[in-house]
Amino acid sequence: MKRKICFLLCLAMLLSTALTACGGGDEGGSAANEVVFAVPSEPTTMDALTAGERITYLPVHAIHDTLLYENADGTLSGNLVESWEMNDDGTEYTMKIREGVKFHGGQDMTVDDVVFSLQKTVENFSGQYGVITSVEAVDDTHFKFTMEYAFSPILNLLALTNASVVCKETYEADPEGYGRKPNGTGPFKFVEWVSGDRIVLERNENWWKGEVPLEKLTFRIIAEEATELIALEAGDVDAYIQVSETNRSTIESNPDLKMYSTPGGQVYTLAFNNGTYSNGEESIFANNKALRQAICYSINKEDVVALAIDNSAPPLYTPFPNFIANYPADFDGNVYNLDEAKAKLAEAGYADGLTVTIKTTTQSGYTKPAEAVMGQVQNIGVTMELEQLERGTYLQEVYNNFDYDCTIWAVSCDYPNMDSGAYRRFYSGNIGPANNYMQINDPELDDAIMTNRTTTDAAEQAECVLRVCEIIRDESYCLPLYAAMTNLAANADLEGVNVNYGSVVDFSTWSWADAE
Amino acid sequence: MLRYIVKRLLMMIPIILAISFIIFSIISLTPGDPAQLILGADADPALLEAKREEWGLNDNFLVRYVKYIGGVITGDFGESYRTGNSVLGEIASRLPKTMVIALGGIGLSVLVGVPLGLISAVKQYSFIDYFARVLAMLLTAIPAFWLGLMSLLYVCLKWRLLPATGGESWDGFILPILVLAASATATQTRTTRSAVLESIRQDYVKMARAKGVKESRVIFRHVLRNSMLPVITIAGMNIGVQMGGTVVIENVFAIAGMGNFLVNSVRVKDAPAVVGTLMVVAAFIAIMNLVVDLIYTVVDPRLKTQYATAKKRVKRQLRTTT
Amino acid sequence: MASSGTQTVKRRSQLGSVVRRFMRNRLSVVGLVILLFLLITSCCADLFFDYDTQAIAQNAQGTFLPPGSEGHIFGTDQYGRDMFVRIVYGGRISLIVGFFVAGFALIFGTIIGATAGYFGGKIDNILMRIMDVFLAIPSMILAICIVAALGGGLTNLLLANGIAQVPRYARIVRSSVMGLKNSEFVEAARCYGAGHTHIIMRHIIPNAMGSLIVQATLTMASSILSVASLSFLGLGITPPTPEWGSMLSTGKEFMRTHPHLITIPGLAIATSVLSFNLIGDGLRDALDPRLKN
Repeated sequence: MKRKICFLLCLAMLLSTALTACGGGDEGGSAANEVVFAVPSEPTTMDALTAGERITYLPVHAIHDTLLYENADGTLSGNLVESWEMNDDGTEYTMKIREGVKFHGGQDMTVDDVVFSLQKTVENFSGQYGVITSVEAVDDTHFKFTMEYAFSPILNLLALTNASVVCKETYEADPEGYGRKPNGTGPFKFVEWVSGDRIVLERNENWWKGEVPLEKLTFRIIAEEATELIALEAGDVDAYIQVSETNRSTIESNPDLKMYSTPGGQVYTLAFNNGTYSNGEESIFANNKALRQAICYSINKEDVVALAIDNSAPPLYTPFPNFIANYPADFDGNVYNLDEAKAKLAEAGYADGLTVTIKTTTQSGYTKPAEAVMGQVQNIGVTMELEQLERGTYLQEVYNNFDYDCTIWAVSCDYPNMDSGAYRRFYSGNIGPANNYMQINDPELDDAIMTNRTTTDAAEQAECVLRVCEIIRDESYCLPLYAAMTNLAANADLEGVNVNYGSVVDFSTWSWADAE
Repeated sequence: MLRYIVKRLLMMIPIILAISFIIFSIISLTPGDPAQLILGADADPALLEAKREEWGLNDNFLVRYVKYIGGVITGDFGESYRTGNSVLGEIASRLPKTMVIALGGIGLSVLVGVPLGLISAVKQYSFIDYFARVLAMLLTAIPAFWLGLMSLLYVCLKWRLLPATGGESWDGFILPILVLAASATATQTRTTRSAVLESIRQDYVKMARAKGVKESRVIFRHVLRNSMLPVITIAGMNIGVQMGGTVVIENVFAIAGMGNFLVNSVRVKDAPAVVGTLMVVAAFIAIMNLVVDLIYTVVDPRLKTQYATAKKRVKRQLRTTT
Repeated sequence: MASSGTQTVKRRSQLGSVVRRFMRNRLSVVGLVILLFLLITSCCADLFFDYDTQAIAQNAQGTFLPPGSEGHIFGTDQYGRDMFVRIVYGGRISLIVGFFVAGFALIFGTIIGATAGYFGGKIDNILMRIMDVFLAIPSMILAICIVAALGGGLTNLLLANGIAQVPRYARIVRSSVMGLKNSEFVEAARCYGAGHTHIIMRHIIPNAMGSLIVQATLTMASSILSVASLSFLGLGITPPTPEWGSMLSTGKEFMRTHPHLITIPGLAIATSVLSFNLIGDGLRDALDPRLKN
């Protein structure tokens, strides 16, 4: 009896191994006209009006259409809005919506849907859209919105994923549930969301721009990049985003794969605390310009770029990525000078060196530049102690309570205008949780930022950008290090692949080379 | 017997309640705001406040706990902050995958470890004995995620035998189970070997041999049967270890299971999700331990008298559970 | 105090036979040699290397040198730091992790287990129910929760792993205390007026020491692996501190292009875990009175 059982068990084992060896096989690759896109974390919602993170934007953007469309060259064209007019002082826009657009649920898109969506966005993202004071329908095809002051980059804001249109009827029926059952007008419609595993979308046959090539688009959640890369090489997935620079050579040397890189909008910055801690005490860097300068002068960004991102992007000497409007291309922002740094350190009263803490989250995107910076400042006798915090603790301590000496954080540029990074991070009116956490308070800087916001004169805007760059350099409120590349790796047979500086991907152009 | 089972199940309740309280406090009283963690660093203050209100984060910690546990008692485990889905629904969709991996790992470790340990003990100091011992030693010493990544690299990429990401089809589970079973198999082999070695030296074995009983019968009837207790104990202890191991394995192979859910939820301080998951894990382990205890009574009839109930019912019970 | 005198004599001879039996097990001796080697190198590291300049200081010009390069037997890492020096210093942290976790669990587990077992009744019930609560969650998962809540870093990792291990020791100690507390030699001690602490510490604990030591070596091995797993999940020790687990998990990013960044720390972990396990096995056999010949 026992022997029989043993024998059966052994047989079962042998069989299972044999099956293993035969199975699997060449199953790699997905069905024709389907793309499996791997993402490193699970999107939090499909709701375009509350979505807040880059990964979340990917499916949201495929399901919804934005009011305006930002082209690859940074220019804007109409999308759900066909045309627009500005009043004389630039504080009011009247826009005409596209007619004949249908939601996935079959409803016609009306001016009410557009007004409702924009109002919600303004409400939910008052930091960015708060300048809009009212949105109202004019007639069946027109709506208008008014602003506190003539805000020049407003049209850029209307091309962001948050400025999408949702179906008012669906949304109001269940506002909390919308994030799991979206109803937009975009190129793909929602099919299913297997929690923690994948989100499946399929082609919207009635898309107003015409049918897209892909029949099915699946977002697969794979947290480990090593696994993502192996899955891509093995053909289990067709593309993935946020490729780390270390894998560039592996991807580029593989003829079946292709790497798409574009300079990103995230400016990795060494940020000083220029104000007070939560207990009211002044930060070590507040009112000590010489100390800030000493640190900035001691950092060789060439080395930082080599160590942190493997030279994939050049060192950055302005606080902004180079694709913003009026970028000062020949700005001299390189202040690396060890002798000067030592002199400044002595001037600041720390000739014998000092120890400060640098706080980051545990993500390697931040710890690597932090480690590189730590290595640099050691050359002038400054010891930075790295304190890696869980993301929650980090946000609480650094972002909300300002309990830090310095940190590495990305100042992100969501639209190609200096305003995107500067207003939020450098403007004194935004000192407070989650905005100007560096507590920069400089009237001259404020003036330049506000002038850029309100003027429509390109020359004046260019001057503002230059002034902001100079003030940040001279006062050393923070030290921009580099704008990391936005990387996407895809199967080489995929055509029409794109990714922009804000990690936004337009899946409507993707297609397989061999598809008919 | 039935009374014993019911008693054991009732004893689980205070333990699980205590777990819920401890974990709820750890998650709630440490810094980190779930609203900001989930909505992103740059989320608008107004939106954050609305979410905090919706999730009741502005209440006092004890009030929140009482509300939560009140819901649990009536069968409502709340909604995960992060996914917005009901926690029970999330667990229901993930538990099967984790069970397949964890129980598959245990099963495989027993299927491989016990015969290997047996052979290695019977043929002590032979080549196969050394081979089994060295293999067991090595397998326990390798970090599971390293083994996982390496097997991905070779099995999935170089040899193209299996899909790289698990959880989609049946063959996606093979590699995770193999990797998870590695260290459990090693402990199983070692335990079986030493248990068998011990009972092989006993007088009743010498006696049986002296009587002229066939060697195979000696081994299977006398030796193996008497060394089953430690073997089962280790298998039972491995269940807990395996449940912990799945966290890492699910991450490596991108399987949407309980471990994966737990790690992602802990990261954003999603209290209902974390506490709910842990309560289910604890209950699962407790039930598995109960099953192990019941198996003891079959293997060692002496233990059965402790439960002072009819033999037949035990056997029937076991046949349905195993 | 004549009695204690004879006791020590007896214990010494017992120890001698344990050592003799342990030394007869070749594999265990190999484990011991490896462990001693690791201990000596990590203790004496400062004599040969300088922590700040060799294990921490970066060199942007010499990154990713392969093993065997001039001056760097194990090559260099992504910051151009010598892998050999980092492995040597990393051993220090990993051994601290192993010894601390085992020590913490041993001390607290013994206190709790002995109290529970010796006094029995309500105290036993309360203490062991608390232990049951911790035992009901897999130690790895408990450690994840604690570290995720308190944050990473050496102290929190040590505490998280230590707390997760305490119940095991409490159970072992409790069961041997329960078995021994009514034995004749304890009765005898009670007769000559020995206090509770004295009885527990001098008469009961030494008898449970064997299984505790075996368990401790296994804990050392498993805590090194557990810290490595936590590092993999991003809950490990802060860089630039060299620690094998975090070296391994930061190295995984480079596993495709520079495999030595994960093979070397991986081998270091495997070797040390192996040595602890071998020693544990040897001790178990040597301490088992049934295997005496």
